[in-house]
Amino acid sequence: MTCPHASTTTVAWAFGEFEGSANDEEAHTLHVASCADCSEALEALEAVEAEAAPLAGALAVEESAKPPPVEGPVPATAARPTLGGRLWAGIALAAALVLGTVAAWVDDPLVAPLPPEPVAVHVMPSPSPVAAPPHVPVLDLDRELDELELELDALRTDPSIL
Amino acid sequence: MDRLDPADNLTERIVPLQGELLGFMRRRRPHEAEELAQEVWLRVSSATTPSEPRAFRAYVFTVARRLLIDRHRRSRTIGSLVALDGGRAAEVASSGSDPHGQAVAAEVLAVVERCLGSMKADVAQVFRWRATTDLSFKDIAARQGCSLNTALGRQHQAARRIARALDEAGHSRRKP
Repeated sequence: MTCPHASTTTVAWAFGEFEGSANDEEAHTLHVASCADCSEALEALEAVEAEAAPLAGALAVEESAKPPPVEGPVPATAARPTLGGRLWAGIALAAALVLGTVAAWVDDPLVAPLPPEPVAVHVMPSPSPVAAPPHVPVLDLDRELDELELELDALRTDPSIL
Repeated sequence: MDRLDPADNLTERIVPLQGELLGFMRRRRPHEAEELAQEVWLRVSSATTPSEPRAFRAYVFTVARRLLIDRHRRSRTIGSLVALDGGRAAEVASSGSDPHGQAVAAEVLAVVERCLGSMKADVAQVFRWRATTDLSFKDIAARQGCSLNTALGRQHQAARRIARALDEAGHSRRKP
């Protein structure tokens, strides 16, 4: 197979999705008729359509064949948390660090009252500050923590980024 | 390319191919063969065609195959069958009235499904979407997050492999 059109333009042309003027389309018809690769591609497409079209209903039962109900491109892989989400996670980590520090100051951390203000004010408005999306794999905890610390540093430098 | 001289008599060049074209159409769509053959001649007569006999014949069957693809797609049975639990071939087999046709349909479906199952997921997905929905290749490319040419290439690849598998299984109607 050497003709570059056989797997691209000719497929679109065969299914009525040729993009171009009527003259261009007619020229491509002449090309297909005289090109062995494109003729073979057209033969295969027609043969398969002839056999598969009556069975399309059976193929349609495959759930995986149904297009997803979205309008834009579907990302190929699971997305990482957004910057906003990661910042909230960073805030939660900071809150945890503050709690840990406070707990270390008291003799009996189990009965010591928790400081209400610093945690509640920042954490409550978050939609889900701590819980990362369940499908995001955390394969390298150290790397994740490093990233959170970097984000905390950025937050300390410029709190307005929230 | 050697083109038709306006003075040429198109009818003289069509006549030797009429029987062959009609037979070609009858093997594929017997109930519409004459109508489809007429449509081919109509398209051929309104186009600039090659004058050399072999090139003219190739042109005629190129137009015919393209017309057939369009007709196959318009007549496909989208969603005519309900969900199955591992018995799709049996379901197809029970959907017609001709026992032989039912058996052939079941065999063809098994070949197509087996072939799709052996392909890369993205390639099989393009074929399934084209077969079972009205998505254009542009839509499919957008949904798969790939270029239009990649989606077209995947359809090409899937069709070639399925056509070969059908050939090997003795279900080919490829040649004129």
